Amino acid sequence: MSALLTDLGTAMANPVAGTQACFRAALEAMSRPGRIVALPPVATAGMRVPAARSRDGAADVPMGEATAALLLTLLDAECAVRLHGAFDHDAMLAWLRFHTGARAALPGEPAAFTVVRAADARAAQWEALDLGSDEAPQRGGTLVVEVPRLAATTDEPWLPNPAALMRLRLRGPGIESEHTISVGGLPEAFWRHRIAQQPRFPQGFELLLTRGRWLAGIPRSTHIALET
Amino acid sequence: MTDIDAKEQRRAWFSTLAQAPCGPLLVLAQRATEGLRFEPMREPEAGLVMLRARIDGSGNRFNVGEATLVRCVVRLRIENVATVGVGYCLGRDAERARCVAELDALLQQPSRHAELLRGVIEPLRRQIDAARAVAQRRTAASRVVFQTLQGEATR
Repeated sequence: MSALLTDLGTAMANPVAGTQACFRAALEAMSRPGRIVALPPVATAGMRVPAARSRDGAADVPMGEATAALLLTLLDAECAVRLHGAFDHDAMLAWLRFHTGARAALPGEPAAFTVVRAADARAAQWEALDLGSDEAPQRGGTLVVEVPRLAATTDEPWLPNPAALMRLRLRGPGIESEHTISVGGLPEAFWRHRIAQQPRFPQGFELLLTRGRWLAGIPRSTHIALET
Repeated sequence: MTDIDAKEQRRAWFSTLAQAPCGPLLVLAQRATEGLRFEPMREPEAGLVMLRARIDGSGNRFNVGEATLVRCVVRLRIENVATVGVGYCLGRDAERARCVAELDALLQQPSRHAELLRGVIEPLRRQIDAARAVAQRRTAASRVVFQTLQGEATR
């Protein structure tokens, strides 16, 4: 008996209600870009996610609840998923494969979902994201990033390291005039890359930011400006 | 026991559990799993599978149609030995899939294996064989043997 299977973590205790609630939250997050949405308890109850691993194989902080719930909700057997950094190991893939049927993207193959923790995010990863084409923009990938900070701009001005926070001004569908959000952990180069994609709309990638049980969405239709 | 033997043996009990009549299976399973706590990894869920078959002399595959199927996965820990039981059954009987998964997990436990083979699998196997023998006897009674005269005419 494979050790991966006997040690496999459980998914949502109530998969129907849980994935519906999580889908509703993701829909809310994507239709109101930059608003922080909390997952209801039913979406995470009973879930036991495999531990993340750091580069040297040691156990790391586990995958966040919102990240895990989103993956369980959105992935299916037709998805290729690419895990990076602390999430890129066999136990995590086995867990996703068992509960969702999704498989790991082959090297060079465009992945429908790319999952990474902000600290592990590298330029090569976001440059490899599939943007779809003008004929088939729906092929564009989704990037799920677990960030250490996610805040509406007005609160927490006393943060220990405000420079690490990127303040974003968002405009576009789903926002009446302008909305601001502060995101920690992702380098400025990432946001510059995202902004550089904007003229290519309808090509682009969707971005889901998670922290703990909170999530925020920034779809490709949103225009981002960095606040300096 | 080698890996291949173990695999063959497991295949054999899956075959028995899949064909067993529902009533006796549920009764025996209930008796065997009484008092044990199984951790559900995948609650019974119904779905569809595409049935395929071969046709023609060339043996090309074709789709016969879809069949409903219910599957279930449970995990059992007895004294630090963890086993994962899997149940796939045609139809939509969730309870049956759960029984098969639980029995599979239990059968893989070295401490319970022999007892279960004797107490559950063998009686079920006997029932299946008996039912099959009856069906075969009934079919054999109406057997028609076609004689071919062609060969003799051309000899």
